[in-house]
Amino acid sequence: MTTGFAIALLLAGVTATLLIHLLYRGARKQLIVANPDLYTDEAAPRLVLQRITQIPLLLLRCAFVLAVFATALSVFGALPIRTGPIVTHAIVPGTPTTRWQSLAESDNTVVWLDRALTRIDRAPVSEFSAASLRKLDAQLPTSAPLTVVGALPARDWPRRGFAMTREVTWVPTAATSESEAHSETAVRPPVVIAVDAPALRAELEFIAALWRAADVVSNVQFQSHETLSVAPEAWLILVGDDATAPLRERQSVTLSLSMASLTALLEMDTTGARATRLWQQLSALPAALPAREAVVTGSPFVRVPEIQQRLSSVTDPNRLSWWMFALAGLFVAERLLSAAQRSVR
Amino acid sequence: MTATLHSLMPDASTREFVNRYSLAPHHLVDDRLRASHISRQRGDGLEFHQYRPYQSGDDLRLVDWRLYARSDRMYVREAQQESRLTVCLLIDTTASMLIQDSNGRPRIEMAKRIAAALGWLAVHRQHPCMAVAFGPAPSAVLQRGTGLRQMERLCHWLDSLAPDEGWPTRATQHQLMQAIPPRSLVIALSDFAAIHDSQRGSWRDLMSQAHALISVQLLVAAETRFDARGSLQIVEPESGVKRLVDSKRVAQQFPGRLRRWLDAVRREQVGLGARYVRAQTEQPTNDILAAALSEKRSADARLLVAP
Repeated sequence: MTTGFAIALLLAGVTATLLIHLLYRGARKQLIVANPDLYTDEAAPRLVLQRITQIPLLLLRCAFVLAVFATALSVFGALPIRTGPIVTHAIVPGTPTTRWQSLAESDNTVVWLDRALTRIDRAPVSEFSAASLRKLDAQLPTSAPLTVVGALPARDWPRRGFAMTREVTWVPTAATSESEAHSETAVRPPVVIAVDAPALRAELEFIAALWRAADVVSNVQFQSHETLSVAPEAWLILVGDDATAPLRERQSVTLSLSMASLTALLEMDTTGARATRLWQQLSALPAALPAREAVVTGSPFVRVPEIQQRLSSVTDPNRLSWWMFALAGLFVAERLLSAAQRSVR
Repeated sequence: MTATLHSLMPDASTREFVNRYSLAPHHLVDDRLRASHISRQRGDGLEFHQYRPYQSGDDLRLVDWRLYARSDRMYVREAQQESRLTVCLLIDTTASMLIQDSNGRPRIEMAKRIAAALGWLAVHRQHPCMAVAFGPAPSAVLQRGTGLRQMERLCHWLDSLAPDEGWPTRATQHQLMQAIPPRSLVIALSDFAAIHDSQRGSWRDLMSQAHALISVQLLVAAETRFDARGSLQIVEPESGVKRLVDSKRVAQQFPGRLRRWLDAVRREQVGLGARYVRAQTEQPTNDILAAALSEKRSADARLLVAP
């Protein structure tokens, strides 16, 4: 879509240039004459003024129509206007987590997120391949780092599709082993999630991947209740029922989530109430925990409702206001020029 | 003639061509001018004109003694004194003379070639020859002279002419007026255009000085038609003023305006007693010379160019 838009802009520019060239070709011609009285045009000043104002007026009107069209497209989400935040994450097709897969809407869609995990754009990718990655790469700012979340077709994937200079961090999901996850920011205590239910684990794996991507925590481990082995400084999130109480006692920092509350949270149909409860639960953690604020504010648990909200209203309000401002400016300019032209008729 | 000829010196064919003609002012002046500036004078020249009865005080050497022996009456031989009118080449050097024709040559080049050829004819016919440039440059006058040396001087002087923006000052105009002798054949080479109202009087006065006048209006082909399209910027070279016009509107009025302007120029020149010749610089030089030097007296213009 972006390429198509660029081509359309290019064509419009070329057309406008040709139009201007054709219309002004005559005006550029000079005729040096011995007797200028033979070439007097009594109506010339008026005609010239009209001609001078005619072209800008035409261009203004074209720009106005184009702006209206672009705004309409933008409102309906069909026009990618890259004036917003820089893409830092891509959810690629093949992500096994069905709920996040729904963000991509189909297996053939790449979703781009910014650092706050807000969806910026989406684009269909008929086949997730090196070619499609190159396409993605071409649309990113040259030096912007990228974190890709999702199942990857091959281990050498980042180097196949992306520019060598780009810093690419890929966060594998269940399709690849967790040990292959690339992370260089393990400065916070590790988080151990003890969960036995396979369905919930799949969901939590993806959420953990987003944590890593959002640089909330760098080391998330999944263990089962039976084989749980946790370092003293690590956080422990126990997902289960009261039967896990003995485990909780072994850890200084433990957050217990009942299976029911976690399931409810992962439904992501929250209106904010459940997220607030989670917030309160997280806030119950000791204040001495490093980067607690980051954990809280950067948690994808908190952001999930926002993402959903963004999905329902694709257009960035800031972007829309910018377009509206441009539209208003074009409209005023067009009116002024029209008035000037009418005044000389 | 020097070994190396000046580039403006007419070539052999042109010299041979103009040598057929004579500068005959009695064909050119109108009755008013002829009455006051008769060009033929009777006197003691070499060419016999008529006998007249001896009068007291006549030189006895002029008495035809043979006729006296036959008729017993004293008659005096009267010869025709040839005119020695000064040929003055008046060349317009305002900026419009820089306009190029379809061959890419500025109008002034044709004016220089014609002036050189006419200068050669004047020298050949032993007329004193001089030249005056009507332009912003002060004191652009080639003093009167005769012979081949004068022809060389004329070529160098013509070569130095460079049209420029602006008009002659009043002082320059006065100098030009003083430079043209009363008994002269003025040959004016100009486009007769863009002579500003304030200058038209002096240009006219300058030509009025002439005993006889040949006015050669040099046009370039592009001036006789208008086929431009779209918006056009008209530039007046003398003043540098530019203005935009709509070609479509100009094209509708151009033929009528051109015809009226050429008629006005013709009437003005004929009114001054001139042989008026209108020519295109794209024409062969000899054709223009032939029109200018034609023996046929015509009060009407000789139209080489149809408007």
